[in-house]
Amino acid sequence: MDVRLDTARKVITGREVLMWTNTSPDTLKSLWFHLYWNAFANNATTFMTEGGASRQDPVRHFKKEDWGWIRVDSIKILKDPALEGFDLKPSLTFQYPDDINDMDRTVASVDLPRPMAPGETIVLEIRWEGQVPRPISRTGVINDYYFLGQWFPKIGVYLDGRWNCHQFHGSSEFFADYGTYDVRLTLPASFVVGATGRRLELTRNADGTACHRFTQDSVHDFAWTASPRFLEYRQRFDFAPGRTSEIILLLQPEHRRLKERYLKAVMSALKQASLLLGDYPYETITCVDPAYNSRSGGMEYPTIFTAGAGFLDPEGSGDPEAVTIHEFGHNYFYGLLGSNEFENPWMDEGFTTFLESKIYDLAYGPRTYTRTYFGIPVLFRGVTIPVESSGISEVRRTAGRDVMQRYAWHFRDEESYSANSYDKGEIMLRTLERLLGEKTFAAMMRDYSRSNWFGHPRPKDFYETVSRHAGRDMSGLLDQFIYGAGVCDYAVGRIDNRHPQPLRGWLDGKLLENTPLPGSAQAFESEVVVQRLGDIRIPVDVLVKFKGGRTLRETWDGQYLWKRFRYRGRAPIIQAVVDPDFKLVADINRTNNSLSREPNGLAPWKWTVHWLGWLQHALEFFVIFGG
Amino acid sequence: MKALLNILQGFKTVKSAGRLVVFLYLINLGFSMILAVPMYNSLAESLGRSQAGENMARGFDYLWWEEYRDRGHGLAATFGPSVIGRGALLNNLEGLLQMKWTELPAEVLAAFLIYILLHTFLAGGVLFLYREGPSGFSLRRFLDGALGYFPSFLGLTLLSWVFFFGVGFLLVPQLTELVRNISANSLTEKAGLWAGLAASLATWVLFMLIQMVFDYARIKTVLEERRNIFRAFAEGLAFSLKHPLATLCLYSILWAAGLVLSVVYVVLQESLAPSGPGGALLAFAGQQVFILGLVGLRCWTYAAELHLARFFRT
Repeated sequence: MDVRLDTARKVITGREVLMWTNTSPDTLKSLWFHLYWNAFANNATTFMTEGGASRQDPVRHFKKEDWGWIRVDSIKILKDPALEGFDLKPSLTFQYPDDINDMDRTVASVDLPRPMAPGETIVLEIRWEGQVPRPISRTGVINDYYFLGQWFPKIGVYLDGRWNCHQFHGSSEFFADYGTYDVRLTLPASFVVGATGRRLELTRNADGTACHRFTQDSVHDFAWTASPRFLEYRQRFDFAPGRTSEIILLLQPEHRRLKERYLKAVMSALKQASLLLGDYPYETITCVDPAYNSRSGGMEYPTIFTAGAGFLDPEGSGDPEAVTIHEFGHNYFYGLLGSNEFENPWMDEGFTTFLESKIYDLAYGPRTYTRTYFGIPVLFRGVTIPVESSGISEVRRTAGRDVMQRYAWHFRDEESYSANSYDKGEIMLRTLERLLGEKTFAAMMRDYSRSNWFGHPRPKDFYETVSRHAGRDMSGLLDQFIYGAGVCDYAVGRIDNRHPQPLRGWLDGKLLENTPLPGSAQAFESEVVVQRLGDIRIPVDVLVKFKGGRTLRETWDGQYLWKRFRYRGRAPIIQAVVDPDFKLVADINRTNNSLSREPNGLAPWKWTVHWLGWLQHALEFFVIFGG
Repeated sequence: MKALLNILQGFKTVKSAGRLVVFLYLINLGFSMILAVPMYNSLAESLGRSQAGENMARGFDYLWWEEYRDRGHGLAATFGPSVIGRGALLNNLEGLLQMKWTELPAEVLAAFLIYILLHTFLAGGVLFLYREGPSGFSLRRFLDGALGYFPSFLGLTLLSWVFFFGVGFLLVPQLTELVRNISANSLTEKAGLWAGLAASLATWVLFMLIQMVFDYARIKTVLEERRNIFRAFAEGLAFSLKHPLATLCLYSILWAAGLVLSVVYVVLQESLAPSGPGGALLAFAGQQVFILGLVGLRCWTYAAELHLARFFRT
């Protein structure tokens, strides 16, 4: 691609030479393209209408130049003696495969002048122009900060006998095919530029512009950013002798103090992700600290991603480290594996969210609870957030509205998409990790990752890998999470201890009348009832503690709604815990997993006292309204 | 100088009727206890016989709290990790200045309303006793004053709401919009942060000024036996405008004392946080000393303002 950015008009003019091979077994009559900036062309596009009123809000006061669009001027065939220079543009037709919105212009097809046989390669020269939008979602320009994603005519993926080329949706990310990119970006020389891949050349032109040439093999997209305000830092990361990647950090000047924290987060992510999923194979990784108000933060593209930070973010709060690790992590599940974010969003977001919390926990330990007052984050050092809490609240409140495996734009609402794609996916993996054991799980994840690089895996690929490593068919368990809307909730229902009843009636030919059994004064008949309150059935351990310190460990398959365990002995049961090793991270109510005979009286007193302090102060504080 | 002198005299007045401060503090405690009982029951029911109870006795079980929050309604929604130390104070400050108190559960809002009206009633007794001079605390005389001035004070409270809520519901949203506009085109969050802080500070100053003017309106009611609330308000405003330095200095010094007291409380509360029953008892004792101090400061403000009003009258 050869691209020029006119910063005065905020317009991109581009020429793209696309060499595309039909790797399918089908003969093709058309080619489909993504023209995603048309999502920002007006308020009737699929993207704009899916978000409801909230998405319409930022565009309410849009001026003419704030709307974004992309216009293809020509698509000419090259390197074909019979059809050299043939323009496909006249046949361009907008398609809306996902809905009935004929106002959406984010997908287009062009007819081929002759059918394209399997294995055949076509070379096209595409000329286009794009108006950079004011940022609504992920891409655009604000002042002189540009983040440009989904910005060029990108060919769709021909898969399973159809063009897998979805419209630009409100609740979805992206899917494209792998290729080699060689891109020249020309823009004013004062701009610092970051992009997918490695910069091969930087040429300064006489007209005050500079041309940056970036190349990258084996990626399925190309994104770039430019701003004169960026501070650029570089750091080398060594995987092993001779195996390195370069970290490029583009930082907002007011976030200078976060430089080391950003770099440490990327290095931690590189190190841990490489151990878990295979060495990061690209030469560069660019971390962009986005400008405030740019709406471009927290987004992944091949070898480049945006994080996000506040200049006051304290250490321990998790910002900007967690989002940095998360967006880096996408370079595996979205980048290297090429999971379809439209159709199987959990296979990218769920896996990446799991990876984020795992790496964060390994690198930093638990986060500290942080609340923001008047825009200033305040740490509560006595309150740490365990990794098991990640996502469980969202699952408890929202996940039941849908099942995980849905097209991203089919979820009931944004919350349900998020809870099912990010949180439930993460929790399923963490539960799986604890059920299979860390070692088996790690081997399974590495295998799943490595065997699907550049492969666009589907759910069945994940099922197959899990079952192979578990040594048994795991589809019953996985189905409950992926295709079920049920929750996991085990509980200890009750504990009973009583002395054996004296005997009455006939025994061994003798009539007994209230005859105590031998030793019954010291003996107890005890029972524990454990319950399954949710729909998800997973075998679970039960720990029973007796007075005096003796413990017993039981196992329950969880198939029926409840199970009773009975004991006879000299000590009564004092406590029972279902899932004592906290394997079932998916359990939405951990509080009811344990039951003691004696309540802990101190906790409610202690915390009522603290709450009382707040209330007394509030009453005294708000008397400002009454003298 | 005048402010300092009257602050000193005000302190002597408060000291001479020290039992009044204790009485007012006990009303705060008793009133809070009414809500603390259902809160205790709610916590006891949730934590009771679970391992989470053991965890919460030792520290803070975040997992338990998330479950409790997700299922909780009413009072339970006000419980969280930020009820400790600085969080409790910041919650209330932010609640006041950004009008977030309107999001509190209905039972808490009802309690606030009743307490504010109760305080309106009690303020008459406080000022009546202080007007009479250092003759100690007599419940009968206190109630005589409270009952006698309640209609006027209630009228003043309602009139003050016009100003308070005018600021809170009309000006604060405007300021919020202004902050949003300032930060909308900014490439850094700093502009929005500073603008937001300035907006909160402006709101705080306005609230303080309204409170101060209405303090003097109440004092005028008691000193001059003004029964017309509009005239009392006009006189309170005129007094504040006529003696801006003295009134503002006095008010600011005592607010600063409140701030110092709050910081000391937060530091002690957060650094001395032993677990076990002794720790809970110590936390309770610390809180009560702090609340007693705040009640004392409010009385001290009234007494000092009363002396200042008298000072300029003579």
